[in-house]
Amino acid sequence: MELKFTNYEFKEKKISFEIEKGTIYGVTGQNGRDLLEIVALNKLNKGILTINNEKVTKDNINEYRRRISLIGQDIETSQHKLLNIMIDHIKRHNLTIKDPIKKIKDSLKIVELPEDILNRNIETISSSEKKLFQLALSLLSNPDIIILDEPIKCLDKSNEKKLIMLLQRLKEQFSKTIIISSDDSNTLYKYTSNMLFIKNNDILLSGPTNELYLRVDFLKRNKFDIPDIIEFTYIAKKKKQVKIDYHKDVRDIIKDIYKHI
Amino acid sequence: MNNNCIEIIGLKYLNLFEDFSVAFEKEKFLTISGSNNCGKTSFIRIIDGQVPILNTILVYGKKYEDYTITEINTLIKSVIPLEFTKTQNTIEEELLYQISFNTKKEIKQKRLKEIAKQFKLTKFLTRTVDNLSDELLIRLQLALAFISSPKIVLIDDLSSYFSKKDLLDITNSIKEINKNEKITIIMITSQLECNLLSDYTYIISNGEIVLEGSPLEVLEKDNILNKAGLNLPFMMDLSVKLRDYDLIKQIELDMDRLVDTLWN
Repeated sequence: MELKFTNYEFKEKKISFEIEKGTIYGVTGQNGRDLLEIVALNKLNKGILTINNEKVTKDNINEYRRRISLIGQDIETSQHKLLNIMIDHIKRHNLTIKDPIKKIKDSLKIVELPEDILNRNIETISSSEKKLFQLALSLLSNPDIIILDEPIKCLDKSNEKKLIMLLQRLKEQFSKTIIISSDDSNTLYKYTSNMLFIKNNDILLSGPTNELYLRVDFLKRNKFDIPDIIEFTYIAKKKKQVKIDYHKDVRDIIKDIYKHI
Repeated sequence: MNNNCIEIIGLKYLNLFEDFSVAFEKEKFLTISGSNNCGKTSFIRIIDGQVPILNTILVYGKKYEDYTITEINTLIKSVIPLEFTKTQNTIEEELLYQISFNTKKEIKQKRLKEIAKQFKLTKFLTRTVDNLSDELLIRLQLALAFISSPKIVLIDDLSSYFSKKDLLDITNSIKEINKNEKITIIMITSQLECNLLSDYTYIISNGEIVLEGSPLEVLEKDNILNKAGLNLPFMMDLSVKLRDYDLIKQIELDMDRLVDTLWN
C-alpha cells in the first residue's frame, strides 16, 4: 500500500509526502503524533490523498483505514483480561474473522508471546510484554501499515532487539510498512531507512535516514537531536579534519578510529 | 554509627526476589537499573509499603511495621508515574496542601516557588490538576514528593514519559535537591545516562544485585551490563572500548575532550 499526500492540510499548512510500501519510516519533531493521525487516516483533510494511485474520498476511506494500524502508548479498553481485550478489539473494529481464537493465537505466535498470557490482566504485564501485546492486537486486522508511537522507550536491550527484529520480519516477509515516531535520534538513525522531520507544522525534511542525519548543522539549527555516533564523528571531522566515515555501529567507528590515529 | 536509611534483609517476593538483601546509605542519590521484568517497580512498591512484607525492611534501624502510617508518610514519599488521583484543585493548591499547616505563609510561598521552578511548573500553577498532560502530572508528582522535605524519596522509572533531554534535565533537578537538602533519593531508571548523575548505582538481574558502586565503575563493566540486557550510553560504550583497545587511558564522557585526547 503506497500513500501519497499532495498539498494536504495539516494544522493550517499544506504538506506533501509519500509513504512507500515495505519501508521502515521514522517521524520526529513537534506534532509528530499529529502526523501519525493523518497517516492513520483518522480523518480526511483538504488536499489530495491517493492510495495505490486511487483517490481517497469519504466513500472509500473506511476501507483503507482498516488496513492501517496505529499503536499508541496505551491500550484503549475497558477490559482487564488480555483475552477479553483481544475479543473486544475484534468487536469494536468489526473485524470479520472466521476463527477468532485461532487468529488471536496466531498473532501471539508472530510476536513470540506465550498463549497463557491471555489469562493475565493488563495491569500485571511488563512494559515489554505490553508493547508486544499491542503489536499482536494490531496484527488481528492484518494491516498493511503499522504505525508505532515511541515503541522502544523503556525497553531493555534484548527486548529492543526482539521488537526491532520482529518489525524487520514484518517488513521483509509480509511487505508491511512500518512507521516509528520517536524523539530518540539514536533509535531512528539505527533502525529506519527513511525519515520525516516535522517542524512548525510542516515537513522540514524527508528522505533517506542515512543522508538526512548527516545534515548536522541544518538539523542543529532547527533544534533536532543528532544521533550520538554522528555527532562524535562530526566533531572529529570538523575539529581535527580526521577522515573517518559515518557509521551506525560503535564497533565500526572504533575500527575507523584505529586506522586514523 | 549506622549510615543507612533503608535496609532490606532476606527479601522473598513472588518469583522475583529470593533472599535479597541491600542497604541504602542515607542522604545519597542512588539509582537502580535492570532489565525489563527484573522486579524494579515491585521493589519500589515493597519499600513504599504498598506490598506488605514483614520482618524484612528496616527504616533508620527500626522495623517498617513498627512505624505508624503517618510517621512513614512523613519520612518517605514515592513517585510512581501517573498513579495519582486527579482533583479539581490547582497545582498551587495541591502543592501548598503538602506543606505543614503551621508553616508561615511567606515560608510556604518561598518553598512553593523553589520547587515549582525545579520541576518547571511555575507557568502552570493556576492550572487545575484534572486537565494536565501526563508530563505535567508527573512533574507535579515529583514536586509534591519533594515540597514537604521528606527524608527519603522513591522514584519509579520516568523514562517512558519524557524525552531523553527532559529526563536528564529532571534528573539534574533531583540531584540538585539531593545535594542542597540531603534528601535520600532512590530512583529506578532504564536510561543509564541518569545513573551517571547519581552517587551510587545498583544493577539488578534475576533477583540479584550483579553490580554496585560509583556509576563510572559500574558502567565500565560492559560485559555484565550486556548480559543483564542493558544498553550502555554511546559515550560510555565508545570510551570503554577505546580504553580496552589501548587507544585512551581513562574513560572520557565528553565528546570534545575525547576527540582532543584521541587526536592531539
